[in-house]
Amino acid sequence: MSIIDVKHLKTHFKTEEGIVKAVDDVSFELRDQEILAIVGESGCGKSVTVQSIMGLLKTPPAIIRGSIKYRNEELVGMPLKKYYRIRGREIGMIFQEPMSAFDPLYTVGDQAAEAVSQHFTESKTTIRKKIIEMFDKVGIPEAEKRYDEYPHQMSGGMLQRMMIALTLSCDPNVLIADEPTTALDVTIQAQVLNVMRDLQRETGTAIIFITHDLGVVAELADRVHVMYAGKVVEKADSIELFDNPKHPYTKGLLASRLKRELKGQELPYIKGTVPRAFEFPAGCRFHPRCPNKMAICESKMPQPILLQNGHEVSCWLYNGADES
Amino acid sequence: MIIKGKKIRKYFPIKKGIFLQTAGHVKALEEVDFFVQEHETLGVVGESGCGKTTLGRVITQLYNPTSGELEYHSPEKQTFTFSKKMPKKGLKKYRRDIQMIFQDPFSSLDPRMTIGDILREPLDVHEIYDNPAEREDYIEYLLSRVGLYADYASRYPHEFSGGQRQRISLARAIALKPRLIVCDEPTSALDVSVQSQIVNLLQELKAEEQMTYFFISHDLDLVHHMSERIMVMYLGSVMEEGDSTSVFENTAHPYTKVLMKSIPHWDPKQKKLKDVHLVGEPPSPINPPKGCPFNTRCTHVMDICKNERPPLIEIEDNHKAACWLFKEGV
Repeated sequence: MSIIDVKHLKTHFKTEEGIVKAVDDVSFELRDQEILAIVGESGCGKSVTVQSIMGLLKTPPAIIRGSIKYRNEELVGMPLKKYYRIRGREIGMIFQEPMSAFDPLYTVGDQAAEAVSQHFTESKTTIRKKIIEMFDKVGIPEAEKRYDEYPHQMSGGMLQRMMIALTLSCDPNVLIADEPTTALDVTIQAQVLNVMRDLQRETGTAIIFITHDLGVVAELADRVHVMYAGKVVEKADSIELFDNPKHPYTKGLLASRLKRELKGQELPYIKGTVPRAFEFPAGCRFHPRCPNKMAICESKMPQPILLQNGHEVSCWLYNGADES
Repeated sequence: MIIKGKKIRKYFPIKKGIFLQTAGHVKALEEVDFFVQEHETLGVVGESGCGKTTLGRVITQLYNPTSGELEYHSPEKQTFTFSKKMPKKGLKKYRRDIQMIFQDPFSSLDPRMTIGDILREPLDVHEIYDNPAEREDYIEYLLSRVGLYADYASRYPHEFSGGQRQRISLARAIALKPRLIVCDEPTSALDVSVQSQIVNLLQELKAEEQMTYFFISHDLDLVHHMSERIMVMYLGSVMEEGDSTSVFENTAHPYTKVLMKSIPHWDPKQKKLKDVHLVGEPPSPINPPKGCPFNTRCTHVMDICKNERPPLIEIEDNHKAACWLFKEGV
């Protein structure tokens, strides 16, 4: 069962330098109770995709076309009043920078309570109890005391866990996490990821997890979508993707991993750099950097092709042929 | 030997009130001993706030240490020993010998200077070339050396991507043929697919120009890849140091072990973060704990750890750890 169904989503921006096709014809579904990772480098459109789902983009300058369905309700073009009911309550979101996601002038507890009281008509004391319980669950020591403290008194890791607690106290069906651990140190990242996985197991919340770190993907995700230059180029189960990557871009990313055995040796790399959003190349957007480039790649955009094991790839190498 | 530091301390005062009285200190470095040898890469690894950047800046003399002693061995076999500031006489030469690459390629290049200006400036300051034509040739050579085109010299930094800017920083750093380059997280602001390009370039320069690096990073795997020796830091102190193979294969300090376990494995079949049982967060460097800096989070904590700072104890040849677990009779 899919809980979010995105079909042919195009999010473009009108800018002085031209139309930026940040997300260009992206389709995917989020299934019940799964963790879906969207992985890609800066400018690939992964954040804009989830911001479109959350209705966080101002239109104009953003132009959103296509369809985003949350349980049969169309989110594209939904009136704001109706959106308020879904945002936070049904779909929660965690941002990259915990320090800037909180308002420095209010205590963390007040901010959490405000979010919860938007959606529930419970008494203040019940809400307070509920939030302190959630703080406790994500491993905040002395949760009762911390409730009345301000964001600057917390460390980044603690704030990010509070953000998770705040979001989950509304008991959403979907959680969107946009690079939630990128700003954190590795040991703290490990703690936050463990908290997220444990809570997901317990509540069954479906998660869209956005990251550029394939290590984090391997730790957390059930399924993975790889994005490049506004397109989803590959979709697969996590194990399948790491064992058997198909798209040259995914292969390049996986190959660039540092291996202990190869200490000091030249690393495999993807040549060139990520194209800027208003100058995406024609044809396959990866072709200027691709080691397997063919003539057709320069002129025609490849369409997604379904291979074995639910593996989907947009690359001319696999057109017609099942296995490489 | 290029540079050696003994008991380096760096405290930053915290000023408060209208008279800016000193209300305390951020203890960024606490009695750090280190040395860098010729043609090696010393990797310095640790989490944010561990003092690795401060140490890099002490070496380049962007910061003067609060106490301790630095010893610089010049190529002319002269030895300069100084405690705070490099004596003025040797400073200009010192600056020429020791260069730095910064983490953020977007703020470390002046947006109003062309790439040519950026590369010309160090050459002019140190009066390397009398003949402008020769100088321009050298700038062209520098650009080609880091994999950029010669005509980029007339462009401005904003026209380049992060990876290209980091190449420009590198060209600027090698312009004066330094002996040591302090690399402060040179790849962490870059996209994954571009990081390996810069790592390869650094390795290539090291091999071909006999460069020495003081390589700062939070990424253990990267530090292992680059370095002959590794220093693991935590809260301003060195926790473990040694040959990078020994440190990786025979990890001694409980902190290094946790750090290693916390790196996500790129294999969905063996999710290993579940095994990380670290509680709490690093304490504040304003008020560090008594004894071992890691005692508040360590699973092997003993009474002595809470009272006495462990010295660096030899575990095997070229491998030391600052932990009471390795002291016999404790």
